[in-house]
Amino acid sequence: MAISPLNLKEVERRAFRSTFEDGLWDMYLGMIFLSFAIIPLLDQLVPSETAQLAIQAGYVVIVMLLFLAGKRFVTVPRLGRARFGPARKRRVLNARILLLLSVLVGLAAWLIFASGADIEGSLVLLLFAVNIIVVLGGMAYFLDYDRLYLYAGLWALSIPAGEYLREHAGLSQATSVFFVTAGLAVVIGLILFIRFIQTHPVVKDTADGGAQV
Amino acid sequence: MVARKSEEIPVQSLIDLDRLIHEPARLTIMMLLYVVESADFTFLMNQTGLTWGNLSSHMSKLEEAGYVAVEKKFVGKKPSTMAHLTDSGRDAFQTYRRQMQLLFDGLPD
Repeated sequence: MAISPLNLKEVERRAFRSTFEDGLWDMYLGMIFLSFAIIPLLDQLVPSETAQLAIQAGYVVIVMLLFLAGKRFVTVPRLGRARFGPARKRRVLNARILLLLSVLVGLAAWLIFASGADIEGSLVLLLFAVNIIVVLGGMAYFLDYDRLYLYAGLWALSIPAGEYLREHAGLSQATSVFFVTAGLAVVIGLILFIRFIQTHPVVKDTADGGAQV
Repeated sequence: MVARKSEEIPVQSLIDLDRLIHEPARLTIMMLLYVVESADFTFLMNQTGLTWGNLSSHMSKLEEAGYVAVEKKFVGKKPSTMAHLTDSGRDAFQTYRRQMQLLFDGLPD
C-alpha cells in the first residue's frame, strides 16, 4: 500500500470507499432517476392515476429490494463487513439527513402545487435542479463518493437540457433526457458490478476459523 | 565525507519500536483496525491483500499479544469472524505512531 503509515485518514477513507466498488449504488441511483423519464410515459400508457401511483411505488420498492439483496448476497460475501468509527457514522448520518430534507422539500413543493398555487414552470425546474445539486453534492461529500458529483452535475443539467430540447428539438417529454443521463449511471454501475464479481471471489468463513475461496 | 556520530542517529528510537507492530503486514492490519470499530476477516483480507492463511497467522500473533480480540460467531447460520483492537492494542499503536513521527521528524535532512 503506497500510503504513509501515519496517514490514517486516507486509510479510513479508502476502506469506506471500497464499499462503492460494487457499482450497486450507481445502479440504484441511476434506476431511481430513470423513473423521472419513465413516469411521464405512464400518463400515456396507464390512464388511472391510482394505477400510476401504484406502479411508481412498486418500481421504487423493487429497485430498493434489488439493491439490498445485491449488497447482502453479492457484496458482503465478497467484500466482508466493517463497522466504522463515530466520525464516519456522523458523516453517514449527515448524508441521510440531507436526503430526508430533500424528500421533505419535495413533499412541500408537491403540496404547494397540489393546492393550485400559480408558480412559474421554469422556477420549479430551477428548484428541482438546485435540489439535485445540493443533495447529491452534499451526499458525495459526506460519503466520499466521488462519482456522485458527476451524477449530480449530469442530472441537474438534464433538467434545463430536457426543457431546451422539448422547446426547440421536438422532444416529447423534457424528462426523457434522463433516459440518457440516468442510464449512464446504470451502465457504469453494471460495468463496476461485473468487474467487482470477477475480482472479488466469495470468501466463506468456515466455523473452524479457516476459509474457502 | 565525515561519518555521523552515533548519537545523532536515533538508534534508540529504532530499538524501542514495537517489533510486533513494526512488520509490514501486521502494521497494515493494525492501521485498518485502528480506523474502524471492527471488521471481519474477509474485509481485512480485501483491504490488506493478504491471503487468508497469512492474515490468520498475523492475527494470531496480535491476539496472543493482547492487541486484537477476535470473536467467532454465527450471523444467522453463517460463521463470521470479527476482529477489533483492544484498549492495549490502541495504546500500543498510538505509541508506535508517536515514535515513528518523532523518528522521522528527528532525522537530519
